[in-house]
Amino acid sequence: MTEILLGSLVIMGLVVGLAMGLLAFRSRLLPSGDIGLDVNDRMHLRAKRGVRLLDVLHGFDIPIPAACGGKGTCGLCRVTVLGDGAGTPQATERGVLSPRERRAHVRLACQTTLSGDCAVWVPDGILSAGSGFACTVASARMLAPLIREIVLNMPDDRLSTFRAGDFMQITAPAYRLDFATLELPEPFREPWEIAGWSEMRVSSEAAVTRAYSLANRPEDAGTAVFNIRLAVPPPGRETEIPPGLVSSWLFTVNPGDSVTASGPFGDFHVRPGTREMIFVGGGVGMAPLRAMIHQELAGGTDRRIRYFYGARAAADLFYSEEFEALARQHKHFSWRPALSDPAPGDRWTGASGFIHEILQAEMTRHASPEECEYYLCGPPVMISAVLATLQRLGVEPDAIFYDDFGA
Amino acid sequence: MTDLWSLFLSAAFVDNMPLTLFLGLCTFLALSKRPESALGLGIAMTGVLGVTVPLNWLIYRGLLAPGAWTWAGMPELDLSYLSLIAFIGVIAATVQLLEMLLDRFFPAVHASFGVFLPLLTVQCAILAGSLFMVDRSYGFSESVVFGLGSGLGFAVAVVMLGAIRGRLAYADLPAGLRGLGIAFILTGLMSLGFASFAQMAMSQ
Ligand SMILES: Cc1cc2nc3c(=O)[nH]c(=O)nc-3n(C[C@H](O)[C@H](O)[C@H](O)COP(=O)(O)OP(=O)(O)OC[C@H]3O[C@@H](n4cnc5c(N)ncnc54)[C@H](O)[C@@H]3O)c2cc1C
Ligand code: FES
Repeated sequence: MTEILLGSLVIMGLVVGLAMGLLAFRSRLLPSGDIGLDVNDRMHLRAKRGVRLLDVLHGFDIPIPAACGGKGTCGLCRVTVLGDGAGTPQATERGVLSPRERRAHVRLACQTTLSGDCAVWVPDGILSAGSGFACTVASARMLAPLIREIVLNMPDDRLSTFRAGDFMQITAPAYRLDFATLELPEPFREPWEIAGWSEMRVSSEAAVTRAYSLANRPEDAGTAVFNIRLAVPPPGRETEIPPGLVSSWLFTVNPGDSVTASGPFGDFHVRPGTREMIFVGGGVGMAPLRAMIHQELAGGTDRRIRYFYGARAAADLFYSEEFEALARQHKHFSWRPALSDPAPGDRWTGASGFIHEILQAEMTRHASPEECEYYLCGPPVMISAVLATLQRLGVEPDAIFYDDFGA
Repeated sequence: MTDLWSLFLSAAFVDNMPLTLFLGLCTFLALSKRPESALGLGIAMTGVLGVTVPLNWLIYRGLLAPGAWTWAGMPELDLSYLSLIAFIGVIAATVQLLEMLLDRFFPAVHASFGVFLPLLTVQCAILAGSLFMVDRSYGFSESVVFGLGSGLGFAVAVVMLGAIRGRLAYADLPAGLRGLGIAFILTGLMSLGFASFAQMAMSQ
């Protein structure tokens, strides 16, 4: 008995002693106190030593985009940092940043901890974008079983100076949702039952922010249009793994509700020039491409434009009539939807197959595929398949622009 | 004095931790890609072993060994079953301390260690140092010498391997051998070399 008692006492004493010793050393060794941070030579901030740069910037309402939530994978939080206080780049950053960026002192704000004074440069647009602002939902409708279109009315003081290809960040508050209570329009109820998505539940304890691309047409001025794909768990695991936090919440908002957004941000834009433009999209990769195509056509471009869009079955294809109408109006625009797995009831007469195969088939007949410019947006598997196809067609990487949504 | 000197030599060379006893190989292989990080690891190992072995000696003799509580009228009390957990605690605290010291005074070295520094907490060579100390009933001064000796032996071995691997960067190796493959072969060859120290010790 004494052995056990004394043994426990000894171990407890030892652990407490060690912890106290460490704490004492820590307070001696690691200087506390604040550090100074210059932002774009304009703002002079003070922050606690040892905190993440991203948190400091967000704390001062500088809305650096962070689509991956600070995991160091999306690369959207790039900033230029000078000064010893930022330390050396982490291994995570070396994976994302190119050698040229690293030489230019570009860092990922989410991976940088501050241990001393430093100077930071963020894109000017971000400083003036200010923090999140409240918008009201103008309309919301389902486009496909997992895709919902949401239109937000922008506050009057934020006139829509979007460039096609931009995205905004949307913040979902803490919430709880049982998908069985979600109202679904008739045609989508059956696929939801079959897939078991109605059994999903999700709850979020804190506000979470994610990036969503703008799908605006010129006539949508004053609003922000989004195509949101519900991030569902892998098939068969609907009851164990919750669906995505922000996309689920966006499936619950209704006209009149308030949504916090910030931005717009982005560097996925149409390059000026005269070359033929090929757009390749899949899923919600529709959003930025739709904005680009509408903007180009409305601007009266005479560049030839082709839009390849891949979906699984006819139910997953949306905005189809709109692009058919555009193709009728503009002779130099063509719309090439393709289904990879048409359902028997679809009565699909268009192209069947994966979109990179359709692209390959059409572009091998093209006189000079390497003279075109390519804009891709969609799921990572689609992007990598299309990149491989383009390589086979002899297209140089500098003619390819893509957004893989931070995957 | 000569006893301590020969203990030092045998801890460093005859019973070399990575090359004779094959302890601590994970960090040995992982941080020997470049001579600089190898040197850093060697210094860190010497520091940690040199501190933890005597510290654990004090704790073991003062609190845990059979008969340590004789002064309190409990001569038959034996807390040595706690030694493993106590040693690990001391090692963890020492590594944290080392981490803070490096972060404060040598941030570049600290960054080059990355996650391997906290991993020293569970490095087998370091725990082995303390366990050998108990097993072989060293005295206090012996435990100091043994800790420093085995740390230095580790440092010598890892710096040698680091230097060789640094040179191999220019060698045209078969693809399958690049990186860890050749490092394993080198470790084996070096360990054959170190086996000759054991011969010398025996034939003395
Ligand atoms: C520039 C940019 C533009 C974008 N544009 C759009 C757009 O226009 N439309 C759009 O829909 N999206 C867009 N995205 C993607 C979007 O930002 C989000 O990444 C996406 O909606 C998922 O966010 P979430 O919060 O819903 O999911 P998260 O909560 O981040 O979850 C992601 C996935 O992880 C799974 N998961 C959760 N917990 C676990 C667990 N324990 N184990 C295993 N898996 C788990 C979820 O089921 C889900 O599938 C864009 C991204 C970027 C970077
Ligand atoms: S927030 Fe830093 S990489 Fe995504």
